[in-house]
Amino acid sequence: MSAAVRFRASAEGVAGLAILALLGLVALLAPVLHPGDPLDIVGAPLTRPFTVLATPLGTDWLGRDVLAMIVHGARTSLTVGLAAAFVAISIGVAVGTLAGLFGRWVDETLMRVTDAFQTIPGFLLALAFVSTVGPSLATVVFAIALGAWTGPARLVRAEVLSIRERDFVAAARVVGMHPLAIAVREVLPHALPPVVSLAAVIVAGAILTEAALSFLGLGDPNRATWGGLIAEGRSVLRSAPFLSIWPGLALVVTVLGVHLAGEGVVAALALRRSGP
Amino acid sequence: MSQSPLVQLEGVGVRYAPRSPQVLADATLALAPGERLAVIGESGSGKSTLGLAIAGLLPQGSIVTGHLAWPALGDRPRPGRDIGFVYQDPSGSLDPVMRVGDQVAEVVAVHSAMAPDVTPLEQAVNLLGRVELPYPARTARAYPHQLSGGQRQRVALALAMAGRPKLLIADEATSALDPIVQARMVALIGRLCDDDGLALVFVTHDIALAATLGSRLAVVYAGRIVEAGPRSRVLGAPRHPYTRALMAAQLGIERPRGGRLPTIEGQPPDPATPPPGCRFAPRCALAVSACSAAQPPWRGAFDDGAACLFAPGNPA
Amino acid sequence: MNRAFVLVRRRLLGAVPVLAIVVVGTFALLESAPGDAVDAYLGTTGGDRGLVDQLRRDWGLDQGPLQRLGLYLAALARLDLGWSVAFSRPVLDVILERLPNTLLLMGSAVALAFGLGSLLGVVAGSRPGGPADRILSIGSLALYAVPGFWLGLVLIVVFAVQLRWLPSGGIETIASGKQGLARAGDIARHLVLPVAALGILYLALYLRMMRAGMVEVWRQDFARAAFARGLPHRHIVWRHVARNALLPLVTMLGLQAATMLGGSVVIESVFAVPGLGRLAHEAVAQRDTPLLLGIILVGAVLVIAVNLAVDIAYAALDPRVGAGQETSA
Ligand code: SF4
Repeated sequence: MSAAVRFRASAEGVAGLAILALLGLVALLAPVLHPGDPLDIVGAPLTRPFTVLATPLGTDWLGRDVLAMIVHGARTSLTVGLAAAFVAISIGVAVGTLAGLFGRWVDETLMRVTDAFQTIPGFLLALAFVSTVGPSLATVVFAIALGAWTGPARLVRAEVLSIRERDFVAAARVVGMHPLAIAVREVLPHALPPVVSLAAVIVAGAILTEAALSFLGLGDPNRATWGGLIAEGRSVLRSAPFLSIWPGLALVVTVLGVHLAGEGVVAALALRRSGP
Repeated sequence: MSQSPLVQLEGVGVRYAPRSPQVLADATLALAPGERLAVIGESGSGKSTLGLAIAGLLPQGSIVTGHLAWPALGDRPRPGRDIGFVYQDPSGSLDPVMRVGDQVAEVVAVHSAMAPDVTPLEQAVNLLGRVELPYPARTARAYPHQLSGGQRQRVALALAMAGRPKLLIADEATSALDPIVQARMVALIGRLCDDDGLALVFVTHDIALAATLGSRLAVVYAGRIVEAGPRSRVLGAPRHPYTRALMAAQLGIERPRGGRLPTIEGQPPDPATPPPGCRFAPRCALAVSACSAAQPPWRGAFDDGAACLFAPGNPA
Repeated sequence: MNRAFVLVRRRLLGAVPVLAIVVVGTFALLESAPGDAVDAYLGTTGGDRGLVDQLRRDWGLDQGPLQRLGLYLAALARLDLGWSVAFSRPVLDVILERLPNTLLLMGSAVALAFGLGSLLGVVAGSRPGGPADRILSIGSLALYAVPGFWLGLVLIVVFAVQLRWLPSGGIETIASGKQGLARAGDIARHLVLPVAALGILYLALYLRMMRAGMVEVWRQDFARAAFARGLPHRHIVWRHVARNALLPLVTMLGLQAATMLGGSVVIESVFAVPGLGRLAHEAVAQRDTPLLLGIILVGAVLVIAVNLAVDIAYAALDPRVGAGQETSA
C-alpha cells in the first residue's frame, strides 16, 4: 500500500509506468490499429515519412507500412522480454533457493554451474542455442533466459542464506516442516523483493538481446520484430535511414520505460526497507 | 577575563531541521586561547551538538540561532586550520585506502603547516611521532586497517593537529578505547595542548576524564548548559542538583572495574517534548512546583554559575 | 605483491571447475548438433562412404560418448579445437587470426566506457542532487536504453554517410599499403565508431555506478572528517571519495567482460570488423558448430583472464584485500 504511494512519488517511476502502459496498450491493440498482416504490401516502396497519410512513418523497400510493422513489433518485443525475464527469474529463484537452503555440495555444485554460465558470454550462448535448435519464439525466449538467470540466482541465494538462520525459519524446522515447504512458504516471500528490483534490468536486457538476435537474423522469422526491421533497413541505410531509425527509437523508448519503471520500484522498495 | 576570548557563544540554539526539536538551547560560554573546557553530558544531551556548533561542522540544513564569535581570530574559523576536530570513531574518520602518513601530509600541505625546509610527509612523520605512535616513519606507510583502534585514534589526533590549529575539539574521542589506552590518550591530549598552547574543548560523558583534562567544566543536560565553572569549584562545590547526581553516580561510589558507569534514576527527557520549566525537574530530588513554572534563571557569573532556582548568586 | 599472488592462485583454482563445466557443456552441444567432425571435414574436401567410416574409426567417433568426451578433452589439451567447416581450417587458427581485432575493439571500448564513464560519474557524484548530477543521471539512463547495434547504424548514417568524416566499416583501409604510424592511425579511424557503439552502454553503466558509489562514500565518516580537516571540496572528491568509489567499479569491469564480448558480436557485424564476434555470426550463418563452440571456449578463457587481471588491479588499489590473516584489527 505505502510502497505504491512511494512508487507514485517517484517521477521516474510514474513516467516509466506511463510509457509501458502506452506500449502495452499498443501491443494489445495492434490487430485493431493495424488489422491484417503487417508484412503485407500496402503502398509504393520507400515512401518517405510524413508524406502519405495512410503510412505516416513511410514504407520499406517492398512497400510495407513501417508504422504497422513497428506496432506489431511491440507485441514481439514485450512478449519476448517479459517471458524471457520470467523464465530467467524462475530458474534463478529455483537455483538460488536450492543452493541457499541445502548448502554443502548442492550449493557448491550449483554455484560452480552459475560461475560457468557467467563466464560464457550470454549472447554467444544464445546464438549457439538458437542456431542449434532453430529460431522460434520459444527458443528465443529460452536462449535469452539461459544467459540471464545467474544474477537472480546469486541474489536469491544470498537472501536465503541470510533468512535461513532467522527465528521463524528455525521454528518451522523445529515443527518439522518439509524443507521445500519452508522454502516456498517461509523463505521465498522474504527473499523475493530484492529480485523484483532486479527484474527491470533483466526485462530491459531481454528486450535488447531479443532485438540483437533478430537483428542478426535469429529471431522468429514469421513475426515483425524491431531488430529484424532495423536489419532490413540496413540495405537501404544510405538512401532511407529512417527505416532503421524508427524501430530503433521504439526500442529505446521501450527500454527507457522499463528502466524508469525499475527506478520507481527501487524507490518504493528501498524506502520500505529503511522505514518501519 | 583579560584576554579577548578565542570563541564566545551567546544564547546559541541549534535545530537539525526547520521544524525538528531544539537539540541545544541558549548556550552561553567563552573560551580563552589555551584554555581547556570539558563539556560533560549524557548521550543525547546536546553536548556533541555544542562541539559541532563551535567547530562549524553541523550537518547541512541545521539552523543555528544566537551569536557565535571568534574575537581572537578576527575572522570566521577555517576548519582544520583554526580548529582541529577528533571524532569518536577512530576507524571511520580515516580513508581506508590511503596510507596514514599521506593522509596527514595531505592536511599539512593544504594548510601549508610545515616548517620551511620540511616536506609535508616529513612533517607528517614528525606529527605521528608527537602523538607517540611507535616507529612513526614506518607507521606512516601503514594503512588504517593495519593499525589498532588506539593507534588509529592517535592518527586521527595527528590529523586534527596537522593544520596547527588554535583549538582542538575532541568529541568523545576516547570513549571507544579500553580504559588503559584511554588514560594514555587523555594524558597525550593534555600534553599536546600544553606544548602548543592549544585551547581544548573535550566533550565526554565521563566526569572523571573531564576532571583530568578540563580546567573549566560545563555540564549539559537535555540541551541546556546547567552548570559551568572552574574545575575546582564545580567539583568541590557543585551548585546544580544534576551535577551533584552525576558526581555521586560516577565518582562517589566505588566504580566497578570495566563495568558501565552507574547512572542516575530516571530517563533524560525526550527532546521533542521537554518538560516545562526546569528540564531536570522530573528527576530532581529538590524539585518544587516553582521549578516547573519557568526555566530557572542562570545564577552567578556566566562562566561560573548554574541554572537552578536554589543555586547561590543573583539571577543573571 | 604477495597478496596478489594469493589472489591469483585462488582465482586460477576456482577457474578449473568452471572451465570443466564449460567444456562438458560445449561438448554436449557439439554432440547434439547434427553432423560430426567427419561430416564437417569431408563437407569441405569431399569423400566417399568408405573414407567416412575410416575417418570415424581413426578419430574414435564410433566409440561411446564417454570415450568421445575423453578424446575431446585430449584434443583440447593439445589446443586442438576441431575443424572449421566454413573455413576449411583448424578452428584455433581461424580464431587466433580474428582475436586481436576483438581485443583491440573491446580494449578501446572498455577504456572509453571506464575512463569517461567514471569521470562523468565523479562529476555527477561530486555534488549529489546538483544540476550536473540531474542532467547526467537522466542522460545516462537514456543512453543505457540505447541498443549498441542501432547506435552503430545511426553513427554510420551521421558520421560516415552524411558528414563523411569516418569510414563506415572494416578495421583498416584494404590494400592501402600503409605502415607503422600511418597504419595505426588508419585503424584508429576505423575503430572510432564501433568503439563508441560498443562502449556507450557501458559508459552509461559505469557513470551510474560511479555516481551511486560516491553517494555511498559521502555518507561515510571519513568524508565528513576530511571536510573537518579543511581539505578543499575538489580534493575530497578526487582523492578520497572518487578513489574509494572506484573500487566496486573495478569489480564490475570483470563481471562485464562476458557481456561485452557478447555485445561485440553485433557491433562487429554492423561495422564489418573481422573479429571474434563477427566470426561467431559467420559460424552461425554457415552452421559451423565446432567453430562456434571454439569461440565460446576461447571467450570463456578470455573472460577468466580478464577477471584475473581485474583481481590483480583490485589488490593493487585496495590495500585491505587479502590482508585478513596478518592483522587482528
Ligand atoms: S530548578 Fe528545581 S528542578 Fe531544576 S534543578 Fe533546580 S531544584 Fe531541581
